[in-house]
Amino acid sequence: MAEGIQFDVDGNAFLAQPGETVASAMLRLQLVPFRFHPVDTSPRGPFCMMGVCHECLIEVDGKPGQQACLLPVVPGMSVRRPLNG
Amino acid sequence: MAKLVIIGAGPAGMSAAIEARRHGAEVQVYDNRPEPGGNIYAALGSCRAHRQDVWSALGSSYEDGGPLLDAFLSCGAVFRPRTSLWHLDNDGILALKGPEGTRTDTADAIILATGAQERPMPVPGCTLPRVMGVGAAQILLKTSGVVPNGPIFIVGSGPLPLLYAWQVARMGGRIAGFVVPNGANLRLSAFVDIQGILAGWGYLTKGLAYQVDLLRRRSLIYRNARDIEIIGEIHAEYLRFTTGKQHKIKVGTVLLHDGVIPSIHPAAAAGLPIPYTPAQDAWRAESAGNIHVAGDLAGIIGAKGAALSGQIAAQTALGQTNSNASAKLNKERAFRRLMDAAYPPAQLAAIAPNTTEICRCEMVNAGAIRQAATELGPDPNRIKSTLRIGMGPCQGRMCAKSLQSIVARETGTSPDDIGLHRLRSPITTITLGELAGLKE
Repeated sequence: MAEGIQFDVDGNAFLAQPGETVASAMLRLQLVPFRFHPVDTSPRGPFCMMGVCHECLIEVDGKPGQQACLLPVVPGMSVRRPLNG
Repeated sequence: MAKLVIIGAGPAGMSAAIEARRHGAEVQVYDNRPEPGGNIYAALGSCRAHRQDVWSALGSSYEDGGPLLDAFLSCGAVFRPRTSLWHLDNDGILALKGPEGTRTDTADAIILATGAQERPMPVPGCTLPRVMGVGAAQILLKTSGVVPNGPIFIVGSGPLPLLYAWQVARMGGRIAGFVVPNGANLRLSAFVDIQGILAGWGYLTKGLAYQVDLLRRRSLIYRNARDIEIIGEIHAEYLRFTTGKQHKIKVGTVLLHDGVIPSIHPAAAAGLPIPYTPAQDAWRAESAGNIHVAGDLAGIIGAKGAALSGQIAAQTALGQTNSNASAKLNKERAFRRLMDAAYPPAQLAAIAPNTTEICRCEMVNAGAIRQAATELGPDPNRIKSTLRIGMGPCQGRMCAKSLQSIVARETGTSPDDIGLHRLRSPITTITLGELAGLKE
């Protein structure tokens, strides 16, 4: 991946490919679960990959509740998994 | 100059934009994704430019989108990616949010081309990570070139699992097994007939159809499966089901598929008519006033038909006479009727065990819905206000269809008579900050 886009997840540096969304890059990197559900703390990860299910909600550059499957990875992006609900 | 706003840049939206530009209209196209293409042509531009191995593995059903994408990108329409519609008035005022903040827009005519989603197929354990839709896994392949962790098991029916299995094989991967729910028809035994239909209509070459047939012979196939359940702590680990005997299989990934249904939420919130179509077991949207419905949103038609439908919608919206696209669209509809009859949905929601989560956002299970339907009757709005089903971030996109199936079976009401619950703006999640940033 010569043309990788550098970004970080929970403080760890990774490379993404051009055109990758945050959800697809994190699935490629095996970074599941994305979050634990606020009602019953069950683990969740991307399910629909098309902006429908809202299971991939994640914190990006300090903004919570972002749909990872609709967001392209951009250089320097900082992703956090809200792992406590 | 007439101004046209198009929501959705899949085959229908792209085709509508090209046609509208041909008639000299000013065209704005909004899509919530980073790139045009919709689901079927997701990330086509970046895949073609940067992932040659994936591009060649995906085959003609994906490559076919290339000329349409190129024509769209050069047609002179303004494309605004990553921009979500959160409000649409029936008098044509739109509110959107995207990288440029929150904004409103107006148009002489609006084309809604919001496409389709996979029909949710709730089974116990389906909320676990490493459980996805087959269509979702295919989008993952298109955007990342990733085949998920094996062993991969597909639960469901329809032509998409077979196409995906073929694409995975071309990436060097393998679908370990197909689990066909009781009542569903994967048509694996009669698949040769389906291949004939597909080949006859120009959807598959005979050679490709033969390859798909050989491929599925390399996977385990479990027919008439019942009591399907996914088990795991932090992600899917086992798939359990019965086929006369008990099976418990170690899995890396479980992919679910029960066909596709129109993405009706924006249309419903705008007050468009939302009739139910028994032949597709789905709601669809109809045009009203200056809001025109195109593509799969008007009833599942597939990529070729969607592009034709987009072209016709642009002609209608601009007061132009319809071209010969209508005759071609009728041919696509005839093909779709064959496919609908060949692959009826399994509708596992209707028989889901009481513990199955139906509403993933508010965590409402099938048992709670059955109890509410018995006590309150079949009105989805009463059930919604009692259980909060459909009131989470997804606004019922993942549960409305299942709620209808369960309530129909539980109360003996025709699915036709169970309407969609009322939908209100904002139709996507929006923060108060974004709302406050609205530019007039």
